[in-house]
Amino acid sequence: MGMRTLQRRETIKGWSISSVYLAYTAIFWGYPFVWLFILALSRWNFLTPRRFVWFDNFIRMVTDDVFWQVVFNTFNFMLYFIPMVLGIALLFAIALTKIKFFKTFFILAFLVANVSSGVAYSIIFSNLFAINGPLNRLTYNLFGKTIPWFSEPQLALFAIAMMVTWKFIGYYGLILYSGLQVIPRSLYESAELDGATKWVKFRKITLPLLNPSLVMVLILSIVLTFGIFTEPFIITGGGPMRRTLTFQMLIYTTAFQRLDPGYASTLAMATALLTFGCVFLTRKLIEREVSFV
Amino acid sequence: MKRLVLVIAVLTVSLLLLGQVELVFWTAPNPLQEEFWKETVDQWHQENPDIRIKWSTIPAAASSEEAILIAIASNQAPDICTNIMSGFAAQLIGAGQLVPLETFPDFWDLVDTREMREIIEGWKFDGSYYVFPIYSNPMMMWWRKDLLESVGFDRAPRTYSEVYEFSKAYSHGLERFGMQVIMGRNWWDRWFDFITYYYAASGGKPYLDVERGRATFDDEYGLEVAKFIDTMFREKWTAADLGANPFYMGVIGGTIMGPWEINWAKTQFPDIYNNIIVAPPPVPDSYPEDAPINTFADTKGLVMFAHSPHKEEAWEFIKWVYSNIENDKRWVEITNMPPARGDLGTHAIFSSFMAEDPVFAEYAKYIPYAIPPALTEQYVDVQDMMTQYLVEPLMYGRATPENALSNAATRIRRILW
Amino acid sequence: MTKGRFVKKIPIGILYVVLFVASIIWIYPYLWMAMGSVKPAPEIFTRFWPSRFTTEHYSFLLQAADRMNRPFIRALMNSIFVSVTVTVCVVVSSAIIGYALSRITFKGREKLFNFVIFQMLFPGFLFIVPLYVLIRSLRLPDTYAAMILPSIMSAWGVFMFAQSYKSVPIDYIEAAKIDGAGTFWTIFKIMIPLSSSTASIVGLFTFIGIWDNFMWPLIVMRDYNKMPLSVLLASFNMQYGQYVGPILAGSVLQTLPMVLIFLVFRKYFLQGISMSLK
Repeated sequence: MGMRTLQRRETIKGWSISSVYLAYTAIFWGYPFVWLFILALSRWNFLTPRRFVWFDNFIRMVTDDVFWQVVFNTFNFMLYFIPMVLGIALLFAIALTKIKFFKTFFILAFLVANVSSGVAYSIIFSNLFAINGPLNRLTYNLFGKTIPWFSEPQLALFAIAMMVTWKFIGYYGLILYSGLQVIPRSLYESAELDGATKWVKFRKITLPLLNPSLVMVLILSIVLTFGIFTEPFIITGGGPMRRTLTFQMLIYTTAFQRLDPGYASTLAMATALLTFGCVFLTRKLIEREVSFV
Repeated sequence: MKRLVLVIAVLTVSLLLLGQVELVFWTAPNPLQEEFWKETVDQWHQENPDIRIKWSTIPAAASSEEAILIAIASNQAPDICTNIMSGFAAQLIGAGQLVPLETFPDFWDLVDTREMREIIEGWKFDGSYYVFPIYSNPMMMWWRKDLLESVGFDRAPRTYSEVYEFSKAYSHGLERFGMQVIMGRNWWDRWFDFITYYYAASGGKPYLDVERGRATFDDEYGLEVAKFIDTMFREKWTAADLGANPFYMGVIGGTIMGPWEINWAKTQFPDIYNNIIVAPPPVPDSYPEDAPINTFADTKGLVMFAHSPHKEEAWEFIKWVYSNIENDKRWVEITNMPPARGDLGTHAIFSSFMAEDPVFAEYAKYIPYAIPPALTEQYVDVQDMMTQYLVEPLMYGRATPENALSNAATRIRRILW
Repeated sequence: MTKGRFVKKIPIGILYVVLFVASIIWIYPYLWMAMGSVKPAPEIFTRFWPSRFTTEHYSFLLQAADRMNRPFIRALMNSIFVSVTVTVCVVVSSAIIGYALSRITFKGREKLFNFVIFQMLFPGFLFIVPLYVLIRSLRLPDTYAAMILPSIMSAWGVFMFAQSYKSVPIDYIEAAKIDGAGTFWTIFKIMIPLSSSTASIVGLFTFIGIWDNFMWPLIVMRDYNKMPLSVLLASFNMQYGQYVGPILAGSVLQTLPMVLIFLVFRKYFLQGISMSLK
């Protein structure tokens, strides 16, 4: 068997396996991909014939109050969610490096929240935070006050940010923890010889060397924010005052309640572009080259 | 051997099924209505083994309308469906999805059997009748007699001032409130609060002028209602979140309820049920004392979808259900919703029921004063705007009643144009 | 200086106490859910430890299929069926395609591999509406296929396997080839066992993703008998909000498989997390 035939056989084998993937991708990825653009340029209600309206949907979007409300909500959400999740996850990760016993227990306790089902945990939190729920019972007994978690516009957004934080602390904490573990001990030791305080060590060694993990967590939480659907769908329906309306809710209701798949596709494209934009900015502003020397 | 038996069994069953027509039938997701339809469908199967009804509730995770629309978009609409309100029917007719029912030869016979010639005129679209009205629920206030008495009221508050007076006496911090003013955050909740109050205050004026594409609720009556909502929230005599079952828990003294609540309350909270006063919605102080008070009619009907391959069979089923007055009687007994029949007040079957159930009788009394929603395809958007620009700003104190009212009216005009 | 000393002096014991308290807070929602599902209805909100335990909410779920046309147990089975099918398909297809993209040399392989990475850039939500249009024109709504087909191959899975195969020494494959082993034999008998942790990670994350998927089945499924538990539970919660006990019992059913799988495969879950760094 010559080298030639062997190569050709490999090529045939490689392509015949890959072609299965390509065929599948063409149907379930390529076709929707093309239709995304067709829909975004069309007006349609699934029932009557579709017609091209060129950029009408895009023009409609930039003049749509609801769209801008959702943009505002999303950034407002990030303002609550990202500092909260990053701060607690970092504390959790640092705490893990300090302890010897029960490590697995703590990791599991925080991580198990991450495998909660979206529907179930939304139901649970809407009950926990209900006006007669356990949390309000506690605050009432302690301070004589109840907090209308899901019926006050700003609080509702914050409450959802708290729920999502609950879910993701374990996951993000572990990413940061594995980031902390690859930082060589020797760096701290030599810094100590120079008389560096804890705070200085944290700022000069930990934070810069943790940069890849921090960027990772930031990107994950940005992408997550743009994808939130189940929590507001089940708990608040996007209200009160549209303050918990998210991009995914807006896309879903536009496509399947108002039967306007064209505008929904336009919104989906805008959402994706915004996500890319935020991720790109994060990388640009925060990502640093790291060397362990 | 076992396998052979199984194969034969499967074959026989499928042969039997082949000769059958299957109708997909959706009803409202409501426990009492489900109870009624389950029995009814079972009975139908006993009498008509060759037409199977594949019955389920409308598979809705949000509103029924949304679920039906997605089903239509996916070519999965049922053959027949209940729980259709007029605005939604208009939308479906516009999309060419419904069958005009008068095309069935005995349509008018059925209408006459239920004495509903007058009622069905209200459901006429472009000269045709696409919806078979099933029931009409007047929305009424329920007041807790014991709570009213606890602060010296021996009857239900009638006017806003009386509601204020009671609320002032009864409300206490975050534990007790005068009444529930706003029923929820969904678009359909506006039927049961703002629109109900507006009908009551205005003597039944329409809140939209559909022909000319504008809102008409931004008038003196609308302002009275807006001021009422505003006052109740500013004085903390009501709240946005009242917890589960606030009426039965004594958190509120009164709230708007549909008749579907009757049987639920009877079984779940019998002590409280025996202690309620049913009254019309509150009205402005200037409302004439002797004039009857209007309210909102939550009225729903049944439709047949145009794509159905079994229209004749579906019509047979509809006829079978609604030509038998016993079914309407059982409907009333199970659901307490007044059937859309002209003879509700006169027929002996119903009058004996009313004598036994004074709460239901009170509802039945208000049927003539209960007005259905405006007939517009844009009901969701219109009522979303009411929520966004009228009700919620008032709840959270973000706008004055005047501003909220005119903002909402402007927004709605933009939608209707 | 003072700050540094102060931090140093926090006894490690306090850290343990804080972590224990926090762990309990983190587990509390699960605890409340599980307790609520076995408390008598009036006590769900009023006391943590009930006066008696009851299974009434679970038997309600069992009867709901018959009484109110809400087949919870069937929905649980649907969820299991769909999630397992998708998981098996994704693991097998990714293992094979990942092999082609990492261990078979052919013209265009690099481009294909880059395409797979390119695909991973696009968030799934971008395609929800057009994918629905596709499923609709295939006349698939309301079938199991609608839930399964769009997810049986995964760019991420292919990528994970391709990466992991790259670390398998070439000698193993050459040896197998000399023995006359076919491609599939090599994949299933050598490559997959050597990348068992990748297989577990891909399987685990796929399973959890599908199990927890809500929006897609919400869009395509109408028939109560074919719905996954997530959608049935959400619609029941919407329509029968006052039945808190059964809703909590349903939530337990929805959560339990995920938690069990997580506890059994926790090692791979942790590995998967640290791998997401690379």
